[in-house]
Amino acid sequence: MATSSPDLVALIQQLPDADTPGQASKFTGPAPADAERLCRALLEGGAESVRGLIRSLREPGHPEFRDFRAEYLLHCAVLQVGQPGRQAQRALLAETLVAEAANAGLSKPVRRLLLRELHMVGDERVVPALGALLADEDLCQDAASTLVAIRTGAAEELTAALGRARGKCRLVLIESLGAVPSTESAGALSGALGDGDPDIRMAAAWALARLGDASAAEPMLRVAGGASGYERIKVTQACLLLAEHSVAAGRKPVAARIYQHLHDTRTDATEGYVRELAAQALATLK
Amino acid sequence: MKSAVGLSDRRVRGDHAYPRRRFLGAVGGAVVGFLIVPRHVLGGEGYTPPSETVGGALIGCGGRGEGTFQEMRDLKPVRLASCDVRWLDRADNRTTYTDFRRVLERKDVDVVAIATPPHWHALIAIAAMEAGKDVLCEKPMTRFIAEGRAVAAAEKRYGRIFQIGTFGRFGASRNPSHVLTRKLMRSGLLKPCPGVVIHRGGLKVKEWSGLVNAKPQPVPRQLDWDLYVGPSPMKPYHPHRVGGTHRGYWDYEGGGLADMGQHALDPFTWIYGKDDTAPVEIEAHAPPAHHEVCGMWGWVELKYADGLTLVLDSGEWGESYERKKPRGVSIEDLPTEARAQVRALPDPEPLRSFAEAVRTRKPAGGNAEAAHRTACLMHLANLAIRVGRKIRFDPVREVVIGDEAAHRWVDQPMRAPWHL
Repeated sequence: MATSSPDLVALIQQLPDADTPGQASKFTGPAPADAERLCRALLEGGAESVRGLIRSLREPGHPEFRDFRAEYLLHCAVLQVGQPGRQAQRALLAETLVAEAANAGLSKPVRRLLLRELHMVGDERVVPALGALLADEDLCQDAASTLVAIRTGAAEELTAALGRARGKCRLVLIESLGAVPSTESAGALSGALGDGDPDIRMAAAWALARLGDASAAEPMLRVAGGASGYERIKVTQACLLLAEHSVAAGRKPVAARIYQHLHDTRTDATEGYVRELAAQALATLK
Repeated sequence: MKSAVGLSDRRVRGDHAYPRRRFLGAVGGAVVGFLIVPRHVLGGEGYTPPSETVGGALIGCGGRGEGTFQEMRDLKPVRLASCDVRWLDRADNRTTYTDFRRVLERKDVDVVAIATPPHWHALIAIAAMEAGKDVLCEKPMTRFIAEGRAVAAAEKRYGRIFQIGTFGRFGASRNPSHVLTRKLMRSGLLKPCPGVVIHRGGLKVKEWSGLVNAKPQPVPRQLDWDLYVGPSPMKPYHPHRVGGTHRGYWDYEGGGLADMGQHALDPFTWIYGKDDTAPVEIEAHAPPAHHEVCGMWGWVELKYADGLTLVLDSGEWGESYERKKPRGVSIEDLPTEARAQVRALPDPEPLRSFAEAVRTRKPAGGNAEAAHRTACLMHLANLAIRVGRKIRFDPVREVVIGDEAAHRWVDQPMRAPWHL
């Protein structure tokens, strides 16, 4: 709840400027105690104060861009409320950040900046709002990265968005599901193994391996066997990762099948290291 | 005590021939029974038959590129490929490349030197090892903690050789007093450890600070900006973000601390036996960090579980560190019986050079685990600087304890299509 509305311009002007504008800045922030005071003043103004600060942001290159200090003050506030024990202020800041990240009246670079600030203070309460940004070509990467940082509830949003995603966003979502594995995504990821884009196939194989999806073993081995070059290297790596996860999950037969297949098919001398490590792994399974 | 470097130098300079595919193909630390045939017998003095040729590649050909490749010279690698994202106007995909993936596809490349900016080190090192290559990687090893763990996992999984491009521990390991300190620390008998190591200056804090007001500029036509940015968040191009000054941006490195820390701290981790652990409490004295550029900081105190304290005092901001005085550790800190126990411990195994490690398929002196633990010191220090509060770290699980927001810097999301 706001107790007073600070003069945002006055707050910003109390921050030190870069040492030599246009040159390497040798960037120096204010003394920690001064920063604490300025951030407290900002946060005491509540959501309205934070919103005001956000709406004053302009990206470098924008005709109205003055200097870095407004976004730096926002970042200082993020750092402060990220401290354990400041949950109420953290929630206020996070909810304001995500609401403004969805604000189509702001520029895409500013909205991306807000999503990156949410990396540090976002929690499960902002997850649905982030999910709504996953179809935006300009925002999906930062929204997905923030979801991955938050983790809780991220996989559900990513999986839900995957079905309707296209192009760059589809790749982003598959990669992100590798970082926060979810059984709900297994079907969609398996389908992606047959995609025409090698980046999608490699991302899907990695995500399925991270998920430890035993049913993916055969299709992944087929994709690896049919691939060449970098894709063969990466999908083979995913097969090995799946084998390791299978062992950890007590599914030794799945791991044995993967290792045996790699041992039997990596017969070229240049892939001897794969054959050899597969043989070693098989020996440990007996 | 044997001289680690002296021993390896003699072996490296010898005229022994090691069939390329035999020594590069072995996995998992197994020592291969090498064919020892003097090279001149096969093809005359100085002749190297194709089967012995070590194919080399350099990825990242700016500043430290040539120097990093030269660190592999004892293997006499033939440079087959050079790769740099600034070569869109000259890459022929036969000997010059812009995309490291095309280099790693080459089956005739056995060893790879990596001298890109550090945000690429882990991903390229991992991919190279997945492709069966051995790796010599310029410092700093990584940009954040989870990257180092992933490199160490890849080194182990694929049985490849990884050596970080800093060698301070090799010199330290030849010093008898350092060997005794290592034995003392590794014995676990010094509890609590009263040692306080203060590293003052030399961390180039002002030198590697970025531009906070940089306005976007057109991408040069020869630069693949998307590939340069790689796993880091996409930002508009500015020349200050490339070509050495990249060090001043969190997206690509971590300021002078990351740039110089691996050099400065590589001997420390060896001497004090901290190659397999990390500090548990980290506290920094610094102004609030900027979200894009690395800035000033005063000092960082890093305390290990056994009590050993490492202090990094930049000497470039605020008051000097005065909390504790430097304090060495000595065998005299132990009771008499315990001293004898320490002295009776075997000397540490001599450190293997990159070339010797490649030939024997045993870990290099600056292997991934050791390099990662040294890099963790810089990353934890930078983490404390960035969040502006004391953090506690679990060196086994490699997580920040009780501060979930701070932990998010330990394992940072990557931009698609890149992942660890």
